[in-house]
Formats: sequence, C-alpha cells, structure tokens
Amino acid sequence: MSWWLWPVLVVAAVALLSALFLWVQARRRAGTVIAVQRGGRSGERGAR
Amino acid sequence: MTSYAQARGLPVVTLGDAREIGELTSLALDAVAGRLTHVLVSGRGRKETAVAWDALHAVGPDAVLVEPDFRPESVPPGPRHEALGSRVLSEDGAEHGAVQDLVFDPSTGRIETVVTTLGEVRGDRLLGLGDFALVVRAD
Amino acid sequence: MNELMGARELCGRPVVTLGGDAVAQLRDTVFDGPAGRVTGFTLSGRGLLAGPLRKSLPWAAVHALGRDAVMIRGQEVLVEPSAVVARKEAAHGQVLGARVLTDAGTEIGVVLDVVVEGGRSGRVVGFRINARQSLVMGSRRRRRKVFVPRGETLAVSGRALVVPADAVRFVADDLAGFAARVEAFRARGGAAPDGLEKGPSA
Repeated sequence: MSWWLWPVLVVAAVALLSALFLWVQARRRAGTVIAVQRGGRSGERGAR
Repeated sequence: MTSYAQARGLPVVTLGDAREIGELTSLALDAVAGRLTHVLVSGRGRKETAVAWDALHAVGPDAVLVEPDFRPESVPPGPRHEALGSRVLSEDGAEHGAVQDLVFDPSTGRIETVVTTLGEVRGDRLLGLGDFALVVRAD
Repeated sequence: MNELMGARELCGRPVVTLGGDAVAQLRDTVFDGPAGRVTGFTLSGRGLLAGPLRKSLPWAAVHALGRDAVMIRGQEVLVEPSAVVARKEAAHGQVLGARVLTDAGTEIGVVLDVVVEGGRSGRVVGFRINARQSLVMGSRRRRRKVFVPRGETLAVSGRALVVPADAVRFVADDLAGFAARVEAFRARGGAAPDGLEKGPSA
C-alpha cells in the first residue's frame, strides 16, 4: 500500500465519524408528541 | 429627526479642538427604554470606543459633534447585538421582517420608529434586542 | 380562535426570550390527554452540534406559542425535564401512529399529528389522522389524511385514543378549514359546560 494512502484513509475516517455525529445529534434533537394523564390538573379544562 | 442609516459612517468630531476621533460605526440601544445609549466609534487603527449619548453635542447631516470634555468608554462587555438587519419578532411569536433603519431624536436619543422590511413599528413598542431578534409588543 | 398548528411542525421552533435571545428549540410536545391541553415541551439546543437539553418548558411559562417562535419571559422559566414529562410517561405516551377509535368502537385510522391552538391557550383541538377508508359514508371526500376534532371525552389509553363518534362528521381536509369545523363541532350542542345531552345534530 502506498504511503500516501494513510492520510487519505484518516481524513475519510474523520469525515465519516463527523457525519455520523451530526446525524446522531440531528436525530436526538428530533421530537415527537407525547400524551400524559395529569388527573388532578384536568380541572383547568374550563379555562378559556 | 435623524436615522441610523444617515448617521452611519459620519465623522465623529470633538467640539473643543475639532479633532476627528473616528467614524460612527454603530449605535447601541436600550430596547426597554426605547432609546439609544451610545454611539460606537472606530478610528483608524484603534479599537472601537463608545461615546455615551449624554456626551453628544449634535448629530448633524455631515458630522457627529461630541462635547469637549467627553470621556471615551470602552465598549460595554457582554454580547452586543446589532439592531440593523436584525429579525423582528412580535411578542406573540410571529416574525415581522427585519430592521432596515431606526429613526431617532438626536437630542434625546429616543427611538421614534423602527423601519422594518414590512412597515414601521413605533419606538415605544420595543421589548428587547437579543441574539435572535428584536422583540416588539403586539398592538 | 388563534392560529392552529400541527405539533410535529413545532419541533425545532426556537424558544425566544422577550429580550430577544434564542435559548433553545422545541423537541417533544407533551399534552394532557383527558384535559386536552399542552402541558409543556422538552427542549434541545440550537445548532448542528447540539443535542437534547436537560431543561424543559412547562406550558405555564409560555408567553405565546407563535408561528415563528415560542416566546418566554426569560431563561429562568425553564425547569427540570421531569417536571414536564417523566421518562416512563415519555416511553408510553407516544401518540403518533396510535390507533383512533370512536366511542362507538369503530377504528377510524391512525394519528399522524396533533393539532394545537397557538397563542396562550395551549388547547389541543384535534388530530390529523390517516383514515382507514372513506370516513363519512356517502361523502365525496376522497382524502385519506383528514383532520378530526378532539371532543371533550378523549381518552388516551396505551396505544389508542378515543374520539366521540359524531366527531367524524366534522372532519376537514386542511388546517384552514379545520378551525371552522372545530367551532361547528363545539357548537353542536354537546360542548355546553353544564353537561347537556349530546344530541345528534343535523
């Protein structure tokens, strides 16, 4: 294997890892809709 | 009445010895009070200094004159947010364009109107200027 | 009625103080099923590198839920995440994809989105659902993705939620038309607070 292949491989690995990191963070920022039951607080429902 | 766009770039000159201390680069404001607090001046090769509004003698069409006994302040620490170009957000969370210009009373520094890309907002409706937006009270 | 918005589009909306600083962005929308009200939001940081924040936004601290931003008084109103939703609740309360049943026992589809009212009310007014078939018999409506009003007697149990059977007669194809349908649904006689009989409306 030629010597110059090593830096290329390292750069490619770093790029891959950062892309993976950004993707994971984007996934962690993505949210959803959650229903809960707050029995005691439902008295507020008449308001407005 | 003067506007930010007109005042920007004007030479800032001391009244006593007609010494030019630099040119007006920016205006700092207190949004809650609805007034301008400082003019920011940068001279050649020197770092930006702030001149308090009380130390101004006149903001004219061709120059800004400062009182002879003014003391230049270093720019207040902490993040400073530029009003020109800032997004405008009403307190109910809806965007209203971006700031194009500020019209102010040069003697008091009171902000009369904020000219946005979508119209004008009265200066007494300002609530805050931060890293994201200039927040204005809903009518 | 204030502007209606889908809860899914709220994700990523900036949380901005009245001082103009963006301090977070919305992540999960949490609502109380029986009360039909948003109880708060979980948050994530802003920017490409940010992940979830260890802070959440209770509805009481929301100044206004707007089209472009959620306004709060200041950063100090943000609280511990568990105050808005406990981890266990979050795991069991996922609504998107849940089955929608009428109180007559018919399955009408699955939940695609939850429609909330903007401004100060935090009301959950209905759902966007992927309907199983033509929702209203004899209707010319062909769209499978429709909006259904919530109704006062919503139950959320496990992976399903229940809407009044007559809610399906007040479906709309888009959010603009939905506001009027929600008002019509409320005015149908069953929404009176003194517990009037929910008579079949014409």
